[in-house]
Amino acid sequence: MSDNPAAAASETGLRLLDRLARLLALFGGALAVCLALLVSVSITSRALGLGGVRGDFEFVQIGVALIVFTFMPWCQARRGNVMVHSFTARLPPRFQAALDALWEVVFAGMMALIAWRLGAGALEAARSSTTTMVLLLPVAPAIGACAILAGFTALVALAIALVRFRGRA
Amino acid sequence: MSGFEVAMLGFAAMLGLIALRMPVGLAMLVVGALGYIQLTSLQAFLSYIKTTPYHNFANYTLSVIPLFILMGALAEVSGLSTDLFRAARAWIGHRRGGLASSTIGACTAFGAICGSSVATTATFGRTALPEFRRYGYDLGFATGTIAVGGTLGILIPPSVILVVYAVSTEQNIVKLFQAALIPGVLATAFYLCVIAYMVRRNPGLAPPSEKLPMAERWRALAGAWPAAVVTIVMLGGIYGGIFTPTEGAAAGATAMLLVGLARRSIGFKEFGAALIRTAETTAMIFVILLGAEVFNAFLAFSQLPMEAAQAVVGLSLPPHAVLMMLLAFYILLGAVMDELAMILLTLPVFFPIITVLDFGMAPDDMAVWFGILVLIVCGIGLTAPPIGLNVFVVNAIARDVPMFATYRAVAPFVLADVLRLGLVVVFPSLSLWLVWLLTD
Repeated sequence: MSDNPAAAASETGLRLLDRLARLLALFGGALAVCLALLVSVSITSRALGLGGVRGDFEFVQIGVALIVFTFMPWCQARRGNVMVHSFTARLPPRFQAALDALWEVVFAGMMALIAWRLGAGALEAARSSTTTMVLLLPVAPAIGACAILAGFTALVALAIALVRFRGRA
Repeated sequence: MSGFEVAMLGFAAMLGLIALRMPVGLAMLVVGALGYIQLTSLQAFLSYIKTTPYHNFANYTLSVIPLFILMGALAEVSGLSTDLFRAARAWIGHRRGGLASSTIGACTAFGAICGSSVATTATFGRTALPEFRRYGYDLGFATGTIAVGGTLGILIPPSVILVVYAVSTEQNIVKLFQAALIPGVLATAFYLCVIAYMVRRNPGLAPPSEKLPMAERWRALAGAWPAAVVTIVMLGGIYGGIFTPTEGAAAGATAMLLVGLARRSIGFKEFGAALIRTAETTAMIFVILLGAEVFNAFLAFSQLPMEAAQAVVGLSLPPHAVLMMLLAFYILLGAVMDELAMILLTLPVFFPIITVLDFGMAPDDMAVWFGILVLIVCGIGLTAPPIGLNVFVVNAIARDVPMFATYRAVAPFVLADVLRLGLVVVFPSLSLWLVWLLTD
């Protein structure tokens, strides 16, 4: 397959997507660690009578959404989603692979839809300058980031679907 | 088509898609979206998902999940399970079946740090299995014990399953964590009894191993101090109402990280591995949560949950009979389905049914009690054939042990679990007593 320049290019592209997804997952994980540290600092300072970090729960809220969306492309790249194999285990492997590829396309479609709608939601939040209650953090950038990450997840799912369809042929 | 019919059709379609290998979260998402559009309009759906995926995740309560998973992953890579296993083994390892009892003991302690059964199973599969091999234990007995011990990851609080239950039924997580403790410790006691019985009946399962001198024992026990500190700080803080579950999880994760750094068991490589593991588990759970959110929004429009509850009331069956049927259904479903997806799918229908029945206790108490029953049933589903997730996990590590051998060893433990389920059904105070004691 490496004789074919198009296949080689797509292979490089795939490896790039995989690398990027992993990097994002590491970034999201680091963000989770930062949240844990922030909350721990808040608890400690509260225990010392200095009062907690103001509005720490708002960081936590925004943080969880961002963390989850940074994790999704990697979960998709590793095909980590929960599925039930028992009813199709007896079917020919090629048929199973075709089904998996098909669902991968559906997943990409759903993620693209979510990305589109979240993008619209982000624009709306920007127009109405929606902020959080305590710290008055603007919500639009967070929703926008989630939209982009959902779009990237869709791209990863699509790439995997292509590989599977090709692997079958 | 009436809402009820659309909902039934939706359930059927979703189960069909899941049977055809569609990822569970995706099946809920797709069917939920189509049902939503059918019962309202495309316009309504498009505006619904404009912010839902964000606001559904940007949720303080749900933040417990990634933080607990992070803590468990850090505990996993820092070799904490090895310390716990060594400590348990030093004290009870020389008894008959001692390695198996030590595994259960260490799983119990690890379960108080880790909220996931798969992670617990995988950890002890790697830590304990080599020891079982070294001492010539029957390997099916070994893998069975590890698979069962893994369920303690969710049975002993913190527990991802309980967080999900709390979120989807709008119950208090702290109360659920409190209520799970005694049934969880009971599980440990029952498992130890099962081991004692099995090795007495068939001594060939577990050859004896040497007894350690007292000094060695104390040294091994002292090696387990980080786990003890983290557990006491986190669970004590949550139970005592000093901090919220999110704060407890954050403190636990931080403490775990500090312990790992101080002992130099977490380096750059281990840290990265923990982050990646956190990413995989968290995303897997949240994809299902997202699907369940959309599917449940659709169900709410269809009125199915309400109508089902009314229909059950109309039957005027004794409440315990209904409860038994639900639990039996859960055991059957749990045998073939992922536990998390199972509770997210069924609770929107089952929970309203349970709440209209009169068990002679306060509604809040009943909701907590039912949560613990669901948790026990999930534990059974994790080890029961044909799809016992924990059995799959441990057999993926011990490839030379036939799956059948593991299932055969798991069987008596599952019987003990059913007995325990019965006890908590008959004596709700087994779960609620600690809640009553700790609140007010």
